[in-house]
Amino acid sequence: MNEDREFEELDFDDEGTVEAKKVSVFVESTIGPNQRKEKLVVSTDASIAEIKATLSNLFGLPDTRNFHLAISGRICDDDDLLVNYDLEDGDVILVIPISTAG
Amino acid sequence: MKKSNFFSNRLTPDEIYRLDRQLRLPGWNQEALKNSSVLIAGIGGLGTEIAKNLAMAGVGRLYLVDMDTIEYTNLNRQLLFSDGNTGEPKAVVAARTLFRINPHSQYVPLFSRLEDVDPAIYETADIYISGLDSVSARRELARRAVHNQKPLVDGGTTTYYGHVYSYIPNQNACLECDPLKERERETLAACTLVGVPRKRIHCLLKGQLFFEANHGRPPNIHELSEMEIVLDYANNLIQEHFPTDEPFGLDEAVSIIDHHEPSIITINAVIASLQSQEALKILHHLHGTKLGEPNAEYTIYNGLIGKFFYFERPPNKNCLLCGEFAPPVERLVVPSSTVCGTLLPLLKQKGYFYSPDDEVMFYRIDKTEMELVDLESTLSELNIRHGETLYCPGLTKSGRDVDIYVKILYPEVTQ
Ligand SMILES: [Zn+2]
Repeated sequence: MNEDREFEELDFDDEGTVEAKKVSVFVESTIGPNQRKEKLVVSTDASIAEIKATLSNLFGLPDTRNFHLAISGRICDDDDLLVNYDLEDGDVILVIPISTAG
Repeated sequence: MKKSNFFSNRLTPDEIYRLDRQLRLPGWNQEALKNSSVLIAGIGGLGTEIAKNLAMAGVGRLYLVDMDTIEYTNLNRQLLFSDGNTGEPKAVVAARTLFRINPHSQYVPLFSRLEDVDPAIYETADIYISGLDSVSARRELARRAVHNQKPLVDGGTTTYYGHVYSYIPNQNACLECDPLKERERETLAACTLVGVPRKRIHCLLKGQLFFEANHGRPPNIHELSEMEIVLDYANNLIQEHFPTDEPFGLDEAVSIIDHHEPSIITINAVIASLQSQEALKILHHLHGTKLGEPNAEYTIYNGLIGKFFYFERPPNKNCLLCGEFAPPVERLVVPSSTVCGTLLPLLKQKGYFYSPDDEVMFYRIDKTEMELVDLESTLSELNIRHGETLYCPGLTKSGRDVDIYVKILYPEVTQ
């Protein structure tokens, strides 16, 4: 996984994939010292890990192991592809803490 | 006549006096709480706070499950413990302290792994509350909640954040509804450290290995000179491979090498209080008093900005634990003298078939180590307990292959 992936790279240029579509979503971070919501265009053939790496840069989060993404009430698996989460224009991707300590 | 708090004959005059201020709450039903029992899994930062809250609120019985003993570093946030208690089991000391806080309730300490708690207790408790610190323990508790159809109020923290989520059977998602392949946080295997460091963190781990190679033991994090050796090595690597990254500082290095989740009582107390309040409402609902509405959404608290976030968690119908095609739980009420092999004809009566060529097997899963059931023995000979779950794969029902769970219930215990 290349964590230095640039934000722009999300708009994949490869037209080869049939399934992939671009959707315009909102990303809201529930962690960090600032409440932030950003608009973002993502390609649905991206993996969750790729999206996380991008958001890590965008939101200034140090380590992708410190947060999960939640889409439509599902907490996303890093190995999964975005296409499996039925993302539509205007949907919200939440950046959430991995709060497993007791 | 409507239930009265002040004239309840379930409560002693002493209790009525002690609880006076909450008995005045609109919609409150103290008798319901007095008749309730709650299983609290994990008596740490969250569990101690939750137990304190529910004890003070007068919940009738608390089962306190924890396999750990008290450490000195618990004392910054776990108010049921004090200096003299280090080394003692958390569950036992908690029960003792709670009895001093409110002697009118019962506290049952279970110094045990979740897996080994008597299945009858999971049957008896009205709800489960999790103050656990690992994903694997949460999964164990979640399975019990789904199989026993009990609400499970989960909570957790990390640094300045926390979450609360109440699983409500047949209403919202269970823990397994998200098919995460890699649930546990990635641990760094030694093999990832061979060769050129690929991440900043690898530099520090290499520094640690360098120290170990030279001294035959890991560095002592309390020894400045030893930490400096590790840091020197690590920061040289950073300069070489990640020139734009920050070098490691002492505090950062200590917290990584001696890894513990950072925890502060304020965040613990917020999350534990939310869990307790949800639990009190759910207990009211279970006993027929509609007090407010349990929050079925996943709630996140960000203590850095003082805000809450919520999202819905609809159940996943393909979930392997609670979904449409998940193995069902069949409850069998049989005497303990039943020979295990004769469970098969009982299942046949319920429409489950098995090919005579196949060997049907039952596995005991309510234990730390899964165990195959000897079909020639009786339930009591194998010490199979009331409420214990057996897993039975490879049956067919209505022409479809099914695996099932069989819950063994003894008539002598079931009324
Ligand atoms: Zn589920």
